[in-house]
Amino acid sequence: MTNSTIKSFFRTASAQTAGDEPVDAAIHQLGVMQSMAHLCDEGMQVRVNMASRAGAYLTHDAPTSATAWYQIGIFGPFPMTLQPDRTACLFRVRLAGFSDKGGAVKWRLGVAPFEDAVSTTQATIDTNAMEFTTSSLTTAWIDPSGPLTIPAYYVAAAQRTINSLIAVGGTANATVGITAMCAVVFGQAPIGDLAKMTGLYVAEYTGP
Amino acid sequence: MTGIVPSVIVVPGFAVAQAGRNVGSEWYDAALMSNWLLGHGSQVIPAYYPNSGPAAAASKTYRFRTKLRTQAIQLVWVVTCRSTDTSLPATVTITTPAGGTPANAYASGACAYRARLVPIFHTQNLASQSNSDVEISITIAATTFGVNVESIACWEVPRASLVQDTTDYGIDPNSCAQRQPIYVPADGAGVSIGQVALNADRGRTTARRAGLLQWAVPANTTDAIAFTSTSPVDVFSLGAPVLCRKQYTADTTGTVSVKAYVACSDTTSTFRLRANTTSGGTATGIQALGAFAPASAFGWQGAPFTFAMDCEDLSVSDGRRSARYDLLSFDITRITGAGTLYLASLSAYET
Repeated sequence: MTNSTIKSFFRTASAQTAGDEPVDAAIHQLGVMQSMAHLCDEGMQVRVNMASRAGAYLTHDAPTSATAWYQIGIFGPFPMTLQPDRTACLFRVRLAGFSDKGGAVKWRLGVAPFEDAVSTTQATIDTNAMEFTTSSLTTAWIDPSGPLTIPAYYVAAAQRTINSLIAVGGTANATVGITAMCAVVFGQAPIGDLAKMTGLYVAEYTGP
Repeated sequence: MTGIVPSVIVVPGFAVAQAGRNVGSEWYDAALMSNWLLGHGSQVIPAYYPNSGPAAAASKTYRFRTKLRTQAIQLVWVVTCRSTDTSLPATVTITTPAGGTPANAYASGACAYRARLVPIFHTQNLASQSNSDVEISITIAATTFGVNVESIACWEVPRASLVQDTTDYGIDPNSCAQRQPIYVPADGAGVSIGQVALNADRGRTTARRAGLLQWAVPANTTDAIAFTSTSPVDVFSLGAPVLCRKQYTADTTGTVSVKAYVACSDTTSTFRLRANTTSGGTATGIQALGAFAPASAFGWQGAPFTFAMDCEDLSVSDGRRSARYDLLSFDITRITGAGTLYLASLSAYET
């Protein structure tokens, strides 16, 4: 759920936060804390937004098995946003594509740490992965079955530290922690067919 | 202590900030929340598929337009490439242009053909801090074999701490602790509850979505998309999902800025770029972004075009304001002349 209970920025007159003004609890709860919490909610980021020019698509190897999963692409890693309780944000996802020959083709989209995204997306569908299916020869967005949720063990597995400069133009670094996640897409198609992906959208949100 | 940036959102207990209660430790948390808001960094380029790349012993440059956060001092570029050779991997070198001396200026990695790709990282140190509308770019050079670039993404490196000044606006949380004096300091002093209040409004503009939709290919007449039709021709095969951030209670839309990197074979020709939004709110319909006459050399076309598009509805999980998804597409029409327009980059971002 959102960190702000009013789900918007709250206007306050600048005079209300000027010197010698009394600290009004209501104003400061709504005008400062709720407003900043709302900005944190809106600080969730769009991590993947793939728009393809006409005729462009990403696909996989020619399948030798109609039930095998073949990697189509990997997007990221990106520093996933964590909620105050260190659980993961949710992900709104959509995928666009078409079947090359008209057979029933599938995609599996997973969001996970790099080393886990590759294997787990192929093996099973957990809450951090989703399937999309079509047999259409025309590219179109395929609606998701819901948001992606990231299990706590993937959040734990994705913890990394990176260097972060202390000051612009400087050389001294501090270490910051990030939760490095990837979006990985696999395809599955009948022998002789291909699952062709033309669009992908992966965006964080806090939850309603 | 400086303006330390926590790794997760810190939210104070709202119920504590009530009339009749004394000012307590929730303001310490509020200072941390402000530092997270300003210092956690944003996704400047959501990952996308360029569908182009350098041949062997050649290089290609991808250009994007955006507004970074003032607090950003480093960018991380993440690239995946696929070798165009059928059996052997290729090696690429990634560089970023003027804008400081990167601590690790070069990154390279093997790019497997039809194998699982490994992302390549490149860190760019910025020369200065600014939230101006700027171009950022990356050059990918191939050595032994050519590559097809399959994804490019870029994000601001989270800051470990923010300086207490009029650039970073970091806050020392200890200055907001219980029993500390309450006063309104000079903006940028980075102390007391007053700075938290000042930063609340600052965060409203800082926390914009710097990357809504970014697309770029190398700026040449082979890689760029060519337009000659006097009827509208779509830039992309489908519209891309876009949701602006919601600000005030009554807001149903946000403002999207768009810039295009173009050239034309005939500088007397004029073209029209249109944005088509399918959102069910007030931004529905085709919006003419104006006619322009591009130069013969590639360049960013004038000031950003701006238009309204639905903002996120935080009360529903899909964020939509109607039954339809919010898609943004573009088309280009030749208005006058006989020239060919070449489109190499299209950037949509919040300002």
